Amino acid sequence: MLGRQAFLRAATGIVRWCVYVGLALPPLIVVASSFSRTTFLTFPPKGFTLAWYWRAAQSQPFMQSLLLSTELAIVATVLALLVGTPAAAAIVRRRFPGREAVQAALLAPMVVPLVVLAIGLLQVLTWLGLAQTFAGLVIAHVVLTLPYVVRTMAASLMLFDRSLEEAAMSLRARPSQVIRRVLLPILLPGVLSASVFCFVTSFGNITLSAFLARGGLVTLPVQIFTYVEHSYDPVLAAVSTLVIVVTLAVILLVERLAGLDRML
Amino acid sequence: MRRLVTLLAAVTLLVTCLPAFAAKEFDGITLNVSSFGGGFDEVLKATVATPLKEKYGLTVVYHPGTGLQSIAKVMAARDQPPLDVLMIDSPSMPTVIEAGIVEPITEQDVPSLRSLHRQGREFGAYGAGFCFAPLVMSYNTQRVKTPPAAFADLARPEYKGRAAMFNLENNGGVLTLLALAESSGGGVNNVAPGFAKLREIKPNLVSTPSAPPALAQLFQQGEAWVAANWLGRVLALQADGFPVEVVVPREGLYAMVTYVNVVKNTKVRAAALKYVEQQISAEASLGMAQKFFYAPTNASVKLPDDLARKVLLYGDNLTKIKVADWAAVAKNRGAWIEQWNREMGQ
Amino acid sequence: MEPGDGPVDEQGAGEPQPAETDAGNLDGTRLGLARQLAPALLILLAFLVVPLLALGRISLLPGDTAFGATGWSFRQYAKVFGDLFYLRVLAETLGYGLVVAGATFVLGFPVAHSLARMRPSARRWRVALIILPLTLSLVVNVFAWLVILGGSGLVNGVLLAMGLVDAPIRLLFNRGAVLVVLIHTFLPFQILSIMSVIAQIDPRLEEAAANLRADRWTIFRRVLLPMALPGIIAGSTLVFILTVSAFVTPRLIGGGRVHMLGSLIYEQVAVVLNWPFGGALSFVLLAIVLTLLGVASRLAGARFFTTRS
Repeated sequence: MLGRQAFLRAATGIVRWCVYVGLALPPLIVVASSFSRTTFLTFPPKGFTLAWYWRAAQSQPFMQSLLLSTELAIVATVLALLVGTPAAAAIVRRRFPGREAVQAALLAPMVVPLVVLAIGLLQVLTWLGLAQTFAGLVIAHVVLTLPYVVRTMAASLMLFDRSLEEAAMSLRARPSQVIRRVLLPILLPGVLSASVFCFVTSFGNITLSAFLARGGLVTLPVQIFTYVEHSYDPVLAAVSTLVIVVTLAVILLVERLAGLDRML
Repeated sequence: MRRLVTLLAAVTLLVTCLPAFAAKEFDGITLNVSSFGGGFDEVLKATVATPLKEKYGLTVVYHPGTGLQSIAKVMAARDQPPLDVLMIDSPSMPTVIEAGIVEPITEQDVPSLRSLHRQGREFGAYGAGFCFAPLVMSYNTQRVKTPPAAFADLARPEYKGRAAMFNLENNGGVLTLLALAESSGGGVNNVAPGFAKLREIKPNLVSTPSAPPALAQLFQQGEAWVAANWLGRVLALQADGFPVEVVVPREGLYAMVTYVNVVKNTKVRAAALKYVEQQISAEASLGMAQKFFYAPTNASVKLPDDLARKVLLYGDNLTKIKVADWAAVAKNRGAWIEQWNREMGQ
Repeated sequence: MEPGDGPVDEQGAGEPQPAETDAGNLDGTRLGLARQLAPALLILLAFLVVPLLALGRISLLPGDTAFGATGWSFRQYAKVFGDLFYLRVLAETLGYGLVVAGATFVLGFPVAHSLARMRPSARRWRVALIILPLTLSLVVNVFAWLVILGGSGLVNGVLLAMGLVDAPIRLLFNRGAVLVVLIHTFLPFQILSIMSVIAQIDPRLEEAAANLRADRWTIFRRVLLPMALPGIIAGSTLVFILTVSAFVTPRLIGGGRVHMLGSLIYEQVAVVLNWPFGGALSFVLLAIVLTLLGVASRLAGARFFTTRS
C-alpha cells in the first residue's frame, strides 16, 4: 500500500515535469534562435545579436499586423464570451425541445474544416459588403471561438451548485446581483479558461484570416506565413518571441484582474 | 464654416481647371495588386510601385497571399473585385482564363509586350509574363560524393533517406513528375512512367514538402542532401553561405512563368495597364534577377555576364526551356494527386 | 463563499436540471430563453449555417468543379464511401483523434490537478508556460520540432550521448512524429479544461477520502474522476475534434506519408479546386464527429450514474 502510494506520487510527479519541459522546449528553441547571427533560422544559435528584433520592430507590416491580431483577438474573445455564456447557460440549465440540436449547432464551427468555413464566409461577407473589413474578421473569429466558450462554460455551469443562487435569491437579491456576486465569481476559472482558448485561437488563426485579409488588414500569422515564402531568417523567431511576450502579458493581466476581483 | 467651404470649392475648381496645376495622370488612384509577400514584395515596391508613384502619382497596394488565395478572393466577388491586378504563375492561368475573371492584354494596351520572349506569353493574349522560374537538381557539396545529373537520379541507392522533392501541391512537384514521365516515354496525358520512376525514388525520400521554405529547412538541417528544387531557392541557399550546388537536369530545364493579369470589372483599367507595363520593364526585371535570380521574359533586358550565367534561362539558353501544357496539367492534376496520395502514403 | 460549499447537486453533473417555474429561480425571471440563445444562434445561422448550406449544395454537384456547375448527384458521397483508400484515411483519422485525446488525458490530468490546487501566485507562471506553445506560429513550430526530432537534433543527441544508439534514428516524417506533435499541440487545451472543473471540486472531499485511508488511485477513481467528468469529457472531445480536423501538422511533420482527412480536404478545396468532392469529404467528417459527440455526451451522463454508488 505504501509502496503503491510512493510509486503513484513519483509517477505523477515525473509526468508533470515531463509535460512542463516538453511544453517549454519549442518556445525556448525559437526564442534562442532569434539571437543567432546567421541569416537563416538555426539552432543552437551562432553568435548573438539583437539585430533581428530591431528589424522586426522597424518592419511596418509586422508591427501593424501584431497590433491588428491583438485587437482582433481581444474583441472576438469579449464578444464570444458575451454571446456564448448565456447560450451555454440555456443548454445546461433548461430543458427545451431541440436542445441537443442547438448544442450540436453551437459546437459545429469547431468541426467544420477551416478552409471550408473560410470560403463560405468569404461569400456571405461579400454579399453583406463586409468582406475584407475589420468587422468581417471579427465576425469570422467570433464564429471560430464560440464553441470554446460554450464548451468550457457549459462544463463549469454543470458543476455550479444551484442551491447557492437559490439561497441568494431567498435573501432577496435581485437577479443581476445574483449573477454578479454569486455566479460570476464562481465561474471565473471557467471564464478565464475560455478567454485563453479564444484569445489564442483567434490570434493564431491563419486560414480564416488569410481569406478575409486585404492590404492593410493582415493578421500576424498570415504575415509570417507569407514572409516565409521568400525569406527564412531569424526575424521570424524574433517576431514569434514578441508574440509570446504579448500573449503572456494579456494572460497575466487577465489573471491579475480576476485575482483582484476575487478579493473584493 | 460656409465661407470656408465656398473658399475651398473655389480653390479646387481653380486648381483643376488650370493646366499648369494639372495633377499627375493617376493621382489619388489606388491600385490593388496581389503578390507573394516577404522579400518578393520589397523588390516589387522598389522597382515597380515607387517608379509608378513618381511618374504617374499612382498608389500601389500589395496584397500578399498565395496565388490560389488571391484567385479565390476575386472569384468570390467577381463583379466588384477586391484586386485590380492578379499576379499568378503559369499553372493557375488556365483556371482564371476559364473562369473569365481576367482580361486579355494587347500590344496596343501595353507596347512593351512586343519585347517579350514567346515563352513569356504562353496563353495567347492573356497575361504578361515577367519572369521565369526553372526547376533544377541540387545537392549538398559537403555530403554528396557523386553529384546527381538528373531528376531520375533521386532514385540512386546511395541517396537512401536523403532525397527530397516537392509534392504535387507545389508546381515544382508537378514539373518533376512531368519530367520523369516525359523522359521515359510518357507525357502530360500519360504519367504512368513518371509514377513508375517515383516508386523507385520513394524509399530514398525523407519528406515531400509543399512549400519551398520547408525544403530549404531540410537542407539546412542536414536531413536532405539532394533535392529537385527551384533555381531561385537553391541560389538563395548558396547566397546564405550554404554548400549547395546547382545541376541542370538531364531531363531538361522545366520552367514556369509568373504573370500579371488585368482583372475583369476593375474600375481602374488604365492604371492596371500602366502597372503591367512597369512590371515587364527592364528596371523591374533587373531587380527580380538580382534579388531572386529569376530570368527576365523581356528580351530587351541586358544582364551582366555572371548574373546571366546564374539565371540559366537567358539569351541562347532560353531555347533549352521545356514548357508544360498547363491546361492539360490543370485537368489532370486532381487525378495525379489522388494517385500520389495512394502510392506515397505510409 | 467558497466554491463547492453545500451539497453537490444531486441530479449529477451529466444531466442538466429542468427549469424550475418557481419565481425565485434565476432562469425563470427576466432572462428569457430566447434572449439567452438568440445572439449566438443568429450569428451561427448567418455565418455558419448559410455557408454550410452552400457547401452542402456544392457537395451534391455531379462534376469535379463548382464553378458554373449544375445538377444534383450523390456521386461525390459514393466516391467517398466506395473507395477503400478514403475509408481507411477516415478510420485512421478517427483513430488518431482517440489516441491523442487519451494521451492528453493521461499526461494532462496530473498537471491539471496540481494546478487547480495551487495558490494563484504559484499557478500563474505555470499556466503561462502551458499557453506558450499555443502562441507559436506553425512555421516556427515545425522548425522547433526539426530541432528536437531531427537527425542532428536534441533527442538523437541525447540518445547518442547515452550510447543507446550508434547512429541517429529517423524520428521525423512518420506517424509517430505526427502523433507526438499533435499531442504536444493540444495538451494545453486538455489541461485547461480539466483544471477549471477540478478547481470547482472541494479539496476537502479529497482530504476526507485520504483520512479514510483511500490511496491516490482510489481518490482519483471514486472522487475526482466522477466529479471532474464534465471537464474531462469537454477537454477530450475538444482535443478529439481538433485532432481530426488538423491538416497542417500532418502535412509538415508527416513528410507526405501521413494522411489525415483534414489535409485531403484542404487539397481538394484549395489545390485541386474540386469543391464538390471536398465538400462531400467535409460533410462526412462533420456527420461522424457530431455523432460521436452525441454518443460521448450520453455516455458521460450514463457513466456518472453507475459510479455514483
